Amino acid sequence: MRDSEDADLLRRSVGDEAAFHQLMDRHGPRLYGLAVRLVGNAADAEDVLQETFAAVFRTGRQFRGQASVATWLTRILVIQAAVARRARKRWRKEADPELAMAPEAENAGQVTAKRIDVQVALGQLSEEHRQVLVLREFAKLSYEEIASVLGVPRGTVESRLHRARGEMRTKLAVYLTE
Amino acid sequence: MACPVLREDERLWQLPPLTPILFPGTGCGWKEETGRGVASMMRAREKKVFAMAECPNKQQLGVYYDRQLDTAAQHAVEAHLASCGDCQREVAALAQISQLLDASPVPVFAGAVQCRLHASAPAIVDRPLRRMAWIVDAIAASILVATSTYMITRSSPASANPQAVVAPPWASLSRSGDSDTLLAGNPVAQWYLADASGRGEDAP
Repeated sequence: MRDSEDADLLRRSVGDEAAFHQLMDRHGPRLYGLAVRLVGNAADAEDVLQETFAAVFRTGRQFRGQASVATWLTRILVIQAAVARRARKRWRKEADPELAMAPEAENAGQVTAKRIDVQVALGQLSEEHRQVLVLREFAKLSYEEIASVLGVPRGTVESRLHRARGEMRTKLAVYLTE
Repeated sequence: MACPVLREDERLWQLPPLTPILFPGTGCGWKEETGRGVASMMRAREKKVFAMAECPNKQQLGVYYDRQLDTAAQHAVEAHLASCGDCQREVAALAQISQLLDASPVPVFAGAVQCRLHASAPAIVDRPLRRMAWIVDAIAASILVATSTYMITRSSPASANPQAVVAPPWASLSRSGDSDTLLAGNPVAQWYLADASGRGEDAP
């Protein structure tokens, strides 16, 4: 039901600004949360979100309904986040997770060192590992949905997820109890 | 690594033997006594692999943890976990990583973010129009430049006949040397020249 409503909204949003705003309200919060996890800070996440909706507006007519609208939007967001991360790396020459996490780290009085370390560890993952971990752990997508979003076979999702968790386990070993 | 596993269902592992048979038209093949093909039997073996004495690999444990195995395999791993401490620890570590990630700050879709997103909508909607306008502008400017260049080139006498360049009026004066004659009939010119000459002499 929600899928068909979303699909209808998406088709209308290409020419109807009110429908476009409705689509933003409906999917904006979820996509924003994912964007922050993917790019590592709120400012870049906001840009990524805007670019995602710009791409949705441009390519909305190409939606064929093979996946749900939510999955399709997530796919666009992941692509835009990857573009943003690449651009940021180009500017900074080298990714600096500490800097990338700075906006969140400002609230260090409220969040524990553990939380910051988790974010830093997430930021240090490679693009592929980070994508798959965020989509599984935060978006709670199934393996098939992740495969659809990333455009890779299910087996690749399994192996990337395994490696990503292995990396996180190494980085956060001090917080894990045997 | 091997671990002592209690076999939940020994009968699962007593697969019927493979009997070589000839498939018409294909040369040869293997077929199970029950009549099932090799592929289906291999799939069946894969599903039962977790009930074997060996632990499932860590990647498969991750898939189990995410509840992404099919029902039979999920149950088989559960049966294995009940008696395997190593695999239990592996799954517990996966759960701890999930807990750590869950504990990280949740990004808040604040009102200001929402406002800025909505404020960007008109620009997004107008972007194709602006792009079209830019293209039209660029084409118009190109046409203007090309037309102007053509007109200048075509109307220039130098390009048609280099000999027919119209000399400025003062050119004839410098060539003829009759400047005094002309100046005699022009008091303003005489005054200007005198004034200019005087300044030239005063100059250090």
